[in-house]
Amino acid sequence: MTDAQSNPRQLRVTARVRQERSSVKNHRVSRISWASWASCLLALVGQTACASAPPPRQLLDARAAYNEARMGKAAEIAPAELHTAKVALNAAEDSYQDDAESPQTYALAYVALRTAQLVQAQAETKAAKADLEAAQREIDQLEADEMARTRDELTRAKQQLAVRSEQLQTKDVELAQERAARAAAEERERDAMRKLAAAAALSVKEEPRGTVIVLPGSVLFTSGKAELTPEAQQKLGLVADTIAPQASTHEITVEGHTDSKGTPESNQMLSESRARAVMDLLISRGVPPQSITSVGIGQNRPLADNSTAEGRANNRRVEIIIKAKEAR
Amino acid sequence: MKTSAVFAFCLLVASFSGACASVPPPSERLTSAEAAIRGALEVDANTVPRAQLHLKLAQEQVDKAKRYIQDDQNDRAELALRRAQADAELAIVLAREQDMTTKARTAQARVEKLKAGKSQ
Repeated sequence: MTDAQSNPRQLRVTARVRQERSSVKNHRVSRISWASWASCLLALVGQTACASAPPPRQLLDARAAYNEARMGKAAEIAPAELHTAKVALNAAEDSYQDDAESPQTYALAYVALRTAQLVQAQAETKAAKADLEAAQREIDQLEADEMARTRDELTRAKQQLAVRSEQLQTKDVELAQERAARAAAEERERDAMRKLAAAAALSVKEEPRGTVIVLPGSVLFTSGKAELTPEAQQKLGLVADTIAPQASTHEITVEGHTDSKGTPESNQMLSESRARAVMDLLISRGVPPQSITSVGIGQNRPLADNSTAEGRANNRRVEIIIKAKEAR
Repeated sequence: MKTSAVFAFCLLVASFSGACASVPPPSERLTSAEAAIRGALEVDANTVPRAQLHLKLAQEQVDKAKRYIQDDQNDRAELALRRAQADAELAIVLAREQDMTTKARTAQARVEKLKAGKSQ
C-alpha cells in the first residue's frame, strides 16, 4: 500500500482529480461531438425545417395578388408583364423554401406582391388605352358625320337661298313691272282726264282725296231742279267713257253742292237729288254701280263767297271724285 | 480536437448567416430606387391617392436603407431598396393608370354627348 493509498485525505483529492479529469475528458468529447455533428445536422435541418414553417403574410398576399392578376385582364392583354410577376413570385417561393423566415424571403415576397399589383395596374392601363382609342375613333366618325350633315344642311340652305333669291328677283321684276304698269295706267288716266277736261270743258284737279272733276251746276241742271240738261247728259257721257274703264280699281263718289240761297234743308235735299241724278246717268252710261256712290253736301262746303253771284254760281256744282282703291 | 471543433463551428456559422464575408454598399440599387421615386413624382403620383401611398412607402424604405448603410448593414439596405424600387415603380404605374382611365372616361362622355346631339 502506497502513501497516497493509505492517507484518506489524499485518497479524496485523488478521487476528485480523477473525477475532474474524467469530466474534462467527457466535456472535450461532447464538444467535439456537438461541433462535428451540429454542422452536419443543422445543414440538414436547415433544409427541411424552414419549409415546414408557415409562409409569411407577404408571401400569401403575393400568391393571392398573382392569382388575381392571372384570372383578370392581365392574362389576355399583358401576358409578358404577367410572366414578370410569376418570376418574382417564384423567387420568393424559392427563398421561402430555403429559409422561411429570412429577411430575404420577406423582401422577395414583398417585391412579388408589388409586382403582381403592378401587372394588374398595367393591364388596367392597357384596357383603358384601348377604350380611349375606340372612343376616339368613334368621336372622329361622329364628328365626320356631323360635319357631313352640316355641309349637307349648308348646301340645302344655299340652294334654298338661291331659290329664294331668284324668287325675290322675280318678285322685284314683277313689282317693277307692276309699278311701271301702274304708272302707265295712271299716266293714261291723267291723259284721259286731260282730254276729258279739254273735250268737255270741265275742271279736273288732283287733290289728296283723288282726281276731282267739277261740273258746274248751271251746266247740269236748271235752277232749283235736279233734272239733267241735255248738255249735262252729253258731258256726263264723256265723263262716263273716261272713268268707266277705271271703275274696277277706283272708288267713285258723286257729291252734290249748292250755294247758300234757300234753307239748309232744302239745299241739302237738292244736293242729294242732283248727286243721285248724276250717279244714275253715269251708271246708265257704263260705270259699274258697285263702284259709285252719291252724297249730298248741301251748302256746307262752298268754294267761293256766297255773297256774290259769281261765288254762288261756283258753289252750285257737282263733284265727281275718283280715288284709287287701297291695295289689300 | 479543439481545432476541429472550432472549424466545425465556423462552418456552422457560415452555413447560416452567409454574412461572414462583407457586403458592399448597394450604391447602384440606391441610385435606381431614388430614380424610380423621381420618376413617380414626374408623373404626379403624389396627386393620385393609391400611388401616393406607395410613393411614401418607397421613400421610407430608401431612408431606412440609408440608415442601414450608415450602420454597415448593407444586406438589409439591399433588401430595403428592393422594396423601395418595387413601391416606386408601382406608384408610377398607378398614376399612369389613373391618367389613362380619366382620359378614357372623358372620351366616352364626349361620345355620348355627340350621340345625344345626333339623335335630336
